Amino acid sequence: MQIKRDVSRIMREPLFIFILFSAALYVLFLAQKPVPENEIIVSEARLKEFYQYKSQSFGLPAIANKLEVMSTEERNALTEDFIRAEVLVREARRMGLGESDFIIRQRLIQKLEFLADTQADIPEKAGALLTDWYKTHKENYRFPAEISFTHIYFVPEAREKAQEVLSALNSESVLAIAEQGNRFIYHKSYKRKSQEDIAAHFGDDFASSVFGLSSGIEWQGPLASRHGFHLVRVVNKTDAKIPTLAEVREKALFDLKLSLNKAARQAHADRLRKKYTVIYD
Amino acid sequence: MKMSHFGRHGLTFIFVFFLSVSLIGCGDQQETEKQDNGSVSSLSDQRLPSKSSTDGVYWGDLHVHSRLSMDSFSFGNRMMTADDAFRFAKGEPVEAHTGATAQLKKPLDFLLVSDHAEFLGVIASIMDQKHGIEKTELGKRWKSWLDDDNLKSIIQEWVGSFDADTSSSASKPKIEYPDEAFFKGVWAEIVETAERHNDPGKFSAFSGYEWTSMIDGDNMHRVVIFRDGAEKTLGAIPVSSTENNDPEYLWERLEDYEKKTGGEVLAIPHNSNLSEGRMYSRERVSGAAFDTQYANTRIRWEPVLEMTQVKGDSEAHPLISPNDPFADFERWDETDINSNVIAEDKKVMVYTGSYARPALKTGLALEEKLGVNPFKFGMIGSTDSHTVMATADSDNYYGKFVDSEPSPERLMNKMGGILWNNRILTAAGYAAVWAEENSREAIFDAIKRKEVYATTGPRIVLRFFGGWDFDETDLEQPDYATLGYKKGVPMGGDLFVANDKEAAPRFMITASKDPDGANLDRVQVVKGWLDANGKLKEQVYDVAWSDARVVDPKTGALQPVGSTVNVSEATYTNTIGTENLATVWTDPAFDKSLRAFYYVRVLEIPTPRWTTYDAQRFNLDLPDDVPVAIQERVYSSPIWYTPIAE
Repeated sequence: MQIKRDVSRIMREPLFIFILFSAALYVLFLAQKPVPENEIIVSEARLKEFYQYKSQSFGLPAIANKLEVMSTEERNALTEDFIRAEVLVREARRMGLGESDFIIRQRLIQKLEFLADTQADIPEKAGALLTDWYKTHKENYRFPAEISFTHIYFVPEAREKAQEVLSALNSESVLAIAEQGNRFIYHKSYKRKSQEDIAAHFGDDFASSVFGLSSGIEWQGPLASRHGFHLVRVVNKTDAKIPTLAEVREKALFDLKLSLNKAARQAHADRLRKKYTVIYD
Repeated sequence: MKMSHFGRHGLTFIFVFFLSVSLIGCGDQQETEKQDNGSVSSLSDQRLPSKSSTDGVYWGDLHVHSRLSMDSFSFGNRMMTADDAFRFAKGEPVEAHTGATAQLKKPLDFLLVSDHAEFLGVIASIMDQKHGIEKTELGKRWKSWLDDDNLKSIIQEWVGSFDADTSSSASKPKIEYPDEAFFKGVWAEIVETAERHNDPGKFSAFSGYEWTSMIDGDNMHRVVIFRDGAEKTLGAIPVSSTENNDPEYLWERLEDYEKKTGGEVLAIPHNSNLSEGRMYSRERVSGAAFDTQYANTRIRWEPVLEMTQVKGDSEAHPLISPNDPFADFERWDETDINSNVIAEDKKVMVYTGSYARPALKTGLALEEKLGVNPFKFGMIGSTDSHTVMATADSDNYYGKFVDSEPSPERLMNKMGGILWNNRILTAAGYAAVWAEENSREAIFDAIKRKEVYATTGPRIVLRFFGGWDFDETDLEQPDYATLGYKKGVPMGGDLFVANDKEAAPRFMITASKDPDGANLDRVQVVKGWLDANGKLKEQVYDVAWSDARVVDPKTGALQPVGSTVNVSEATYTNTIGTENLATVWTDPAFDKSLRAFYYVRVLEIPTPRWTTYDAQRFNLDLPDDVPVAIQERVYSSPIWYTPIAE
């Protein structure tokens, strides 16, 4: 397919692209006001800016005023984070790694942190470390309760009908189950779902009631939901539980490594921090 | 317009890797596999359905990149691995490059981390000093540059290493391309990671990669997905487009894999919208004409298209579908993937080969000629995220590269500093799969039979059955899905005239809103057909809608649903639209002698575009070249009607 192309002139020169590319990554601009190299100023405005970048998780309500209502604990943690980031960025700059907008700052931090990480590889004798880790972090590995069930749905006006069908189902087995009830807009059966999953399709009340049922072949209900009423047969239910180390070994090992990395990063940052004076503005 | 060899090629490769890819697919052989339905039928039957799709819709992303992709790494993702991608997809939080804690609101059910096969894992392994590359000349040289943070030299050498001759089918790198042993090492790492995260019944982790062919700036990318576990996939080695950039070569290599291991594999094309009309052109890459064998081979390997993702939506184009007011959606239609501008006089031809709807139509004409439809594809979405974070929600969108993660800059900056504006990225999409269980095998098989659909993000539950005998009362049945399989075929299936009935095909459709999302506006059926004069036609029917709206008798247009979007607050309310739409629809203009396809498009009510959420969040002015609100949507795989010669 020979289609004539219009390539903008500026794009023709590969060197130019590379210059642009590197420029984009390493744009330099100078700090607006000179601050002594070893002083870090913590001010309300800087903290706020830092927090806004850091907490930009989507779907949360506006965070602009969050700083004002923060607990002292949260605020201290945030301040510590800010200082730590500032130290690492200063160190990175000192090493001539460049300076720039927040994303570049973050990359610089990661780069320095990576230097720390490489010194934190889990030793061969990870066994004992891992066991300790598991013992102190068991709660993190909790399996949520799960349920598998099938249900017969009735529109809100058909509560009586639901009751009748329930009696019939549990006395004789001649009813064609598939033909009972009304069309439900989601599914007829649910497999290995958490309470949260069930709540998404049925609402919170139903989700909490259905987890209160026991498993077995008998039909139970009717349970109310935001859609109407449901006869439910719980095929299987597993309680929330703390798994054994063997069951979560891979995940625990991964987390342990992350934690060691983090500790090494912190130690590294702490060493660097000793060189700075923090001024609370 | 000619560029210098080096510049031309340099751009090609920069763009390939920087822009990345998405997914798409093609069709498959004419199997009309009816599901047997195992819904609960007697009191003594304690099992849940085991061989049925009556209840299992699973959500996933088959196109995510990690630091093993050359472009992901060189655009700033030095740390985030396939492990992080799987953890994120399973709903765990990860730390984004901006330092923000990123987390999905709802976990996914399956994921494929599809890193680019070309230079797969090279820089990452040099940084990690593993798989032997650290001992090679290339490894030593690039390591010293990496240590100096001199990515420029690496990229320059990498880009400059490709043969300037783009017209040949192969473009061998001129620098020391790593040997097979190296790639085996990287591949083993990929396979091992997927195995570790695969948890049948709860989460399916696929092994695969992306084959990144670009011919003359035309995006021909395919994601390669394996059905199998390590015992077979370790016998594979990612096929690189540097060996040969013709998809026919890829298919041969996929066949080699199946013969050698007894395993199964498929290729899923994507970003046909950036293929400059080549993806669904009527000509083979070699220039040869289509023949029956080619058509069979193509549809055998490429049963689905990834037709919505971060780099735009590839369903339909307003120039080709002028009567469809919803065809103008998240378009990336000005250039190919190399940023070559599409010439005005070529647009019709280019868009006909670039968008799913015209391609499905072309398929009917090709089938008439060849006896086989090479473009009989189903539809899925995926993200093509290059930061490992598979996000498709407008209010929780992490973009494509590190520089399009949430920040006050991303409304105004460009991808990689020089490419497209980040604000034109689309917060899309995911693949929805009707399968009997959540396992690699069941999901792969559903993709193969095209019982899948595409979403731009919302988890709208869509059922679509075609048959001859459906009636309105079937919809009232609690087991309507079982009836759907009993009396007809699901999405991806085929209808034939099975007896001498004069009846038109009937379609049973139900759509339910994302439980955590916006209400639904309408359900549409898109019909394409080949008329008696050999002309390709299309028609969009509104078949179910909310709020008792009326159809204008003159224009036939359904009144718009309206909008509740508050732009400055970035909110909407579900005070319009509806939770569920269901109908049995009969084609009013059916001609049993003509080939046709039917697919469903479901529209949500308008909701804020991701850029609108950003403007609110960061208190910025909204650029005026992106819409403030969009109607998110799902697209079903088609059901085809094929007349049987009498």
